[in-house]
Amino acid sequence: MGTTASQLPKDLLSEYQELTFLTKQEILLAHKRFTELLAKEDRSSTSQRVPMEKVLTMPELKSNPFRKRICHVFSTSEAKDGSLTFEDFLDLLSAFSDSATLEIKSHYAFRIFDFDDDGTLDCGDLEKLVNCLTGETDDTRLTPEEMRQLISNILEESDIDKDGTVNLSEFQHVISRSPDFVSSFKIVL
Amino acid sequence: MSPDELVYLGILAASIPVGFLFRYLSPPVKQGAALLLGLSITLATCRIHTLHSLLTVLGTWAIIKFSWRSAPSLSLGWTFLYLLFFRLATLFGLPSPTPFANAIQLLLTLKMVSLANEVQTFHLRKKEDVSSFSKSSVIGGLSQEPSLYDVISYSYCYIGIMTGPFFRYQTYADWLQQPSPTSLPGRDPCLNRLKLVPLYGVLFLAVNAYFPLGYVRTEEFLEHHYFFRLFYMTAVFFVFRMRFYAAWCGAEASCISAGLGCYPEGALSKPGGGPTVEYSPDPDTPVVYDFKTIQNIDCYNTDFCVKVRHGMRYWNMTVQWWLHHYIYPNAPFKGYTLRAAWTMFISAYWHGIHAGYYLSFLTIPVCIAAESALEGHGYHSSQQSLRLRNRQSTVADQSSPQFNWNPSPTEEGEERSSDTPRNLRELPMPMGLKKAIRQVQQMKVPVVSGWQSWKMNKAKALRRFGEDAGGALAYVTLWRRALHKIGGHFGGGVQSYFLFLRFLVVLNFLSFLLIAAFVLIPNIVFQSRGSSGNVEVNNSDVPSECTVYDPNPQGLVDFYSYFIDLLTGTGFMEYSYLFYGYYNNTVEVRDDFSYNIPIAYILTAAFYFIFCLICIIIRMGGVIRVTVKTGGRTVGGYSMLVFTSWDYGLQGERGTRLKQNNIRYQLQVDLEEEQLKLQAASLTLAQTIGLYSLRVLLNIIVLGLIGGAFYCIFLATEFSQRESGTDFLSLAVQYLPSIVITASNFLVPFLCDQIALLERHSPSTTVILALLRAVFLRMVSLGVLIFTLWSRITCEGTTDSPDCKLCSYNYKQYPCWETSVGQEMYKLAMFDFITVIVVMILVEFPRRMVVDHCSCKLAKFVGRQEFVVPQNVLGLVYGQTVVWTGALFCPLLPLINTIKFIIIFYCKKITLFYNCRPADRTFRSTSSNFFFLLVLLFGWILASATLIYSVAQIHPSMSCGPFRTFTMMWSVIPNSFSSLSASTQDFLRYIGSQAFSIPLFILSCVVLCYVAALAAVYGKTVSLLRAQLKLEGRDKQFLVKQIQELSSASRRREMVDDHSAYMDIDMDTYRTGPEWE
Repeated sequence: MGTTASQLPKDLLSEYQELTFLTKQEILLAHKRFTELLAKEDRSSTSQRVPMEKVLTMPELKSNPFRKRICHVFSTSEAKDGSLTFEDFLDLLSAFSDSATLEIKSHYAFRIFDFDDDGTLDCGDLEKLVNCLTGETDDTRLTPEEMRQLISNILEESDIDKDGTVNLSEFQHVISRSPDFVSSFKIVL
Repeated sequence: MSPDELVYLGILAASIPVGFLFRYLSPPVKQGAALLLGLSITLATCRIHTLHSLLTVLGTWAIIKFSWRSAPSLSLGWTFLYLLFFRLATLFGLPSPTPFANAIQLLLTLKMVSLANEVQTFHLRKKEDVSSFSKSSVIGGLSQEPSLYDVISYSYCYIGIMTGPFFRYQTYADWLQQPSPTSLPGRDPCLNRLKLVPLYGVLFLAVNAYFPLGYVRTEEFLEHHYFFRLFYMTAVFFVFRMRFYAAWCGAEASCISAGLGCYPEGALSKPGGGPTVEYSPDPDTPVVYDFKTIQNIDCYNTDFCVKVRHGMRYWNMTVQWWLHHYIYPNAPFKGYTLRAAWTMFISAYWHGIHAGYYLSFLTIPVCIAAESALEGHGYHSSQQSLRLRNRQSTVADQSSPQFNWNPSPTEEGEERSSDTPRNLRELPMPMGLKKAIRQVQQMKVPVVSGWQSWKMNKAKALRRFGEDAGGALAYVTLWRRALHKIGGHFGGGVQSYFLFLRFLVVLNFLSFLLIAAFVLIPNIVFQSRGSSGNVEVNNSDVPSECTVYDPNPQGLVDFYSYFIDLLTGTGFMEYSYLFYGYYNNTVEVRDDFSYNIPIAYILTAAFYFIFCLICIIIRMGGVIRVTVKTGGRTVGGYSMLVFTSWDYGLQGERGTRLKQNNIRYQLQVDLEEEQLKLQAASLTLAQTIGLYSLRVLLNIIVLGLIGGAFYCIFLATEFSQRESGTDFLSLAVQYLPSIVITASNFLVPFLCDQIALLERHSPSTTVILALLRAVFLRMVSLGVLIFTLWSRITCEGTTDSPDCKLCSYNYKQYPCWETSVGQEMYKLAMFDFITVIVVMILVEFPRRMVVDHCSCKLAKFVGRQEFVVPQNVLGLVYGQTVVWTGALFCPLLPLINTIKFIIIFYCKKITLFYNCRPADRTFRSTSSNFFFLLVLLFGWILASATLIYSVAQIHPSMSCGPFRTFTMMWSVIPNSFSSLSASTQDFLRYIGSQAFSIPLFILSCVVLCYVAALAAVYGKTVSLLRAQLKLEGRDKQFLVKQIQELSSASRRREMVDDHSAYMDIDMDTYRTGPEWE
């Protein structure tokens, strides 16, 4: 597998370095890990897609409750099946890297939490989000009463314009005040 | 100047005015006259050697006639082989050629190869025209094949026959065919070119007179210092440059006067190559001409450009063009550096066969490669661009006469991108889009001056270096992977403990280096030299009893007591570098060097404390900056918890499940807390009073517990100081204070936690309260220990008690009290360490075994232990405080602590991964980080108070240590102060006086006020912005409502069109009703 790392052409590598927050070593490692996911005969082409199921077998994503959302957000697939190309994969790692800015991290976090892809976090999104955080099984969920109280509290705090949903700027407002977010929104290979 | 040089100069000078005459001649006459003049010059200077050049010309002509297709390579081979023969003529018994013949031969070589290429292009183009009838893109190609007469007249044209510049046959033909030579500019550009020649000439003569080249060859020169010889080279090279500047400027002037290489500016001529674009003169505007085609040197840039590559570009430009077009593309190598090396090799061969040429020319590619490497991607981009250029040159070989070693479009594109990547990276878009944007950006090549581009390149290189260095540092960083793994499995809270531990390790190690450099090593050095004994107390008024101190153990030492000594710091350990007592009070004074160990000792201690303080403050600053950034007004905890609490770095099912439990627990607790608050608000007065009185009562109990712990510590210390012996019991007695401190620190916080449950505070308050109590207990118990020690040493401060009267400290029990205190701190540190290890082995591992392998209820209830971050951090802070307290008396304590903390790191890591589950409640890592440092600062203050007291209040032991002759440790400073020079003393006095301190104080107050005001303003801005956001939200709502109303009135479709601009922005955000599709 060690030889696969060198397959990335030099100009492409430097371009990726410019367009992502990743270092050269990280890109090479990402390439190595990505080609491991590909079937042997597909390894030559860079635009090959890896289906979401395959991506989710990576230990870094395997147990993440948001894994499917992450794939969907970063996928450029027309079919909306969450499959990733290598460049999508790099985008993912770049957003989750150490040096990515708060702004880009919060942007992607918002899109991950926006389960119905409508551009705002409404009650349904928040409920799904909380369920992801606490665990989806019946005994780990919050009771409906707790959930109702929690969502009303969240909206009370964050929904500045009181339209019943949290939009991107409101979301970023909350995130910008959390010092731990940058360090916790991080996936390193 | 040699006669040859004078002839050279004469010909050059004469050819300039003659050139003007040529403007009046018709083309055939011009051609003939130029040939005649050139031939006569050649014959006059070379005589018989003219045959060499004639042979070369005829040979080339024959090659062209024989096969125009392969003429370029054949003529190259022919001329270069002939050059070899020409150089080695003496070997064949021929007369050695004159320098003039050499110069002519060199230029002819260039001209012939170029001619062969031009003829080939001419034929290729002719064929293309016939087959396709399309207009060729070749610019200014030949109109007919040159005849033998043409070739000879081109070869022997008098212009530049010996000095260059090189010009193509095309340029020559254009010169002959000029429609109205007299109307072309001549005098002004000629004078312009010549105006600096006198300066070059004078500089040449002047510097040459002082630094003659011939001197280098003498024996005397070799005897000079290396740097002088190096400097001499610079001067010689300067002379060399001046000579060439003058010669080439003159040669260019002779071309200009004749009108050779005169093209309109619009043709964008390149030196050597000539026009690069088709130009059609506009009849309305006057045509501006330039002589770029025959420009051979850019004197200013040659001297003042920054890069080797550019230096190459501005020197002998026409020949560079030739090399670049005829040698470089056909190099038998692929890599850029190798191709450059090949080109340089050919160039060196062209210049001559002396080894020096090869040596100097072949360093250039290495320099260029290094330069490219420095610039990062320079190497790579040039490689790419050369590929492009190659493609071009196969299509139309002569048509891309653009010369540089790294063509400007790519380079500027790269420069442009130096500030784009940040922007591009920060765009939340898929890679495909970012790539497209990047391409568009690169197409817009801005005009940048040389200085700007230099600056940009510099910044880029610096940034790249910074990134590289950061990457390299990341590898060196201590425990990087381990910390990463811990963070991944147990989250940021636990990681912050280990980060803190690493900080302490580094801090201790640096402190040790400081102490080693200024105290330990000088002491070892002075002692090993044996030159300096101790200055003993010999004042008659000091009683001899005070100076008795004999710590060396007597008789055989068995293994058992060896072990005891190791743990307690007595016996063989006592009189060693470990403790204060071993250091001597040498004052080493030599003629130019003096070292005063007492001063070094006390100043090192002071700097050690200041250094630690600075480290803590810096780290605190970093933490608090983050806290401040997030604003004073916290946005509610729920949204923060829900939006930001997930740790994406978590791996493994177990960690995920625990994190989920953790979050759920926090959410439930917070919701519960809110309920509790509501309940509390609804309490009746009687209930409130009951609750508060309960809390007061419990607090009193807690205080009583803590007080009891203090008393126990006090008693234990008293007892252990009184008793002494060597058996095992005495070891226990020796360790009694440490044992009591540790035990009370286990017991009391545990009881406090139980009590806190009764107080019915909110959960978060409970945690903080418990912590504060623990901190208080830990720190003050250490304080009690020290206080007890002090009071024993100083006989409770009463100097007239029988024990202390004689030496003003308790000399009987403590002949060297500093060492005793050091031993006490050493024992505390050791015991702390032993406790960690023992607890790990005897408690944590068995507990885990039982919990994992026993299915009984109790075991399940107890469960695996939690890794409680705050308590563990407290342990570290306690250890560090002990070290600070003891550092003055036991200078090696920081080293011991470094080792101890490193071992603790690994132990804690092991127990974390094998025995622990993450805590149910974790601190937010940022706020807790700050809290840790605050506690550490508290420990520092305690330790420094101890230090100041012992330095300024207690009489140092008279029998040992560096301060045995002083009444106070501090007094060494005033003593040495008086030995400073008067002005230094005045300066220091001024610094210490009110005249300095009061203005300083006022100034710092002003700065503080300013900062406070700034902070307030920022706070206000934040709230203003919030209000604005709210208003805007309302505006939007209002607009949306309006749109809704309007759309319900049947004109739905039109409205969509009218407001499409607005809706584009907010279509997603405001889907307000079912009537919206």
